[in-house]
Parts: sequence; C-alpha cells; structure tokens
Amino acid sequence: MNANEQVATRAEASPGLEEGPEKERLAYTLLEVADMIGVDYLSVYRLIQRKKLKACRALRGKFLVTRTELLRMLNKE
Amino acid sequence: MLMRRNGEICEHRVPGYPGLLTESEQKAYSEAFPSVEWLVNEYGENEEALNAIEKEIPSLALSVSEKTTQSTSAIRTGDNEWQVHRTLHKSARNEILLCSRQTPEGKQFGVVEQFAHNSVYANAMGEMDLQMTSNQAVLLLQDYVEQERHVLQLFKQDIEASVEETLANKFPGQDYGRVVKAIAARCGRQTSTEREKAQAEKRNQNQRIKF
Repeated sequence: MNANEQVATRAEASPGLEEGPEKERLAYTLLEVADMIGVDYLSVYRLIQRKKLKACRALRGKFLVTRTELLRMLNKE
Repeated sequence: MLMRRNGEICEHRVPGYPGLLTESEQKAYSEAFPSVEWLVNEYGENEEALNAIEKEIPSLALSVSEKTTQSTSAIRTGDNEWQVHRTLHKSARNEILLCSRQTPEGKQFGVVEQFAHNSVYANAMGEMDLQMTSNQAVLLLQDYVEQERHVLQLFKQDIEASVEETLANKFPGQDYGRVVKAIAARCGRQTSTEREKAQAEKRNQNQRIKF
C-alpha cells in the first residue's frame, strides 16, 4: 500500500473525518494529521517548524494542512 | 472603584489571568475552556518537562561528553550508527533521543526523533529523523530546548485559534478577545495540583463511561 492509499485508509477510519458529504477533505487540522500519519501531535508541529510540512492558517488562525501537501511530504522520499 | 466593560462590571477572576472578566466573558470562558482543557494540560506537561531538561543541561552535557552515562542502545540514521544516551521526550507515538557517535573529527552529538515503526509516517519517511547535530553537547541541548519552545509556541497559537473558533460558533458577532487571552494565559500556568485534579476528573469520567 503506498502513502496515498494509507492516508486515504486512515482518513476513512479516523473518527470525525467520515462525517460530512465528502470523505476526502481538502485540508486537515494538525491533530487530524497526527492521527492519520500515526505520529504524536507535537511531531506535526515539529515538522512545520522545520519546514518539512507546510501549513496554512484558517480564518481564526488555526493551522491546516492540505491533503495535497500531506501527500507531497509522504511521497517525497 | 468598579471597572465596567460594555456596561458590565469586571468582577470575575480566572486562573492565570491578571485581569477581571465580566459576567458575559466569564460565561464565554466557561463555555470555551472545556473544549481545549486537555490541550492546555498537555501544553503544561510538555512545558514542565522542557523546563526540567533545560535545568539539567550542564550536568547532562557533561555526562554524555565524559562518557559517565552508559549508552543504553544503538540506532541508525542513514549510514550512521548512534549510541543512545537519554530520552528527552516520550509519548505513545514517538521518542526524542539524545545520542552520540564517534567521528574522525571527534565525538558528535545528535538529537533523533524516533517514530512508531508501523506508522504511515515511518513507512514513508523512515523511523528515525535526525533533527540536529553538534560537536558540543551543551549547544545541542540549548538548540533543542529553543526548538521545542518554538514548537510549543505554535501549539499555543493553535489552542488560541481553537478557542476563537469555539467562541465564534457559540457567540457569533461578539468580541471575546479578552477571553481568548485569559485562556491562553492558562497555558503553562496550571499548577501540578490543578493538573492532578484534572487528570483525576478525567479518570473518573472514563470510569463512569466504562460502567
């Protein structure tokens, strides 16, 4: 199973991500990203701090990672 | 003399915040805080652990530099093998390790993050992530503490944003910037007793759920 398929499987299995009409969301919060890729939530902040993963800010300033960016990081190496 | 804001008396004290909140602000605070309470607790625990590491830097650096600590195991990052000296941070899904290795130029120190071997991240990027290296243990540990403080700062900003989001959903059109500040001020200000109380409460809730 490649990274893309693994993220898709985790996204479908993660609580909260299956809600709503679409299964494939455009962006995820950092806690969701942590659950999807199986790391500690602070590790996701570390990845952002070290610029290995790019995050954008939502309206209230909350960090979001786009699905495209998440897949880019996982497929890079 | 009583201070008023938006026609309401500022009379409510909340933990860690020097100002006083109005009745409406206090209500908003009580509505929003539970949604981020566990994050605030996590922030506090991580900050406390980092403060402990910071205090320990001189002795820790000396012990790894002078080989007074025994390496517990060895790990590999790329082509290099590192001797593990100490766990700097540990969670269910990762571990941050203080390591060293011998090079032709002398001893090199490194901080390595180890991920769960079966995680999506580890499968794609590798189980070990060499975060920083130095030939001076003190500088390495200082850099590590500085990096982790920045990580916690990002985490705190996200907690504030979550509070803003909750308040905007529950009280649309209201300006509760002061409530956000009051909750943010609680990050890292929780006493151990408060945290223990919160954890005990969490345990009780879990038990109630089980029954």
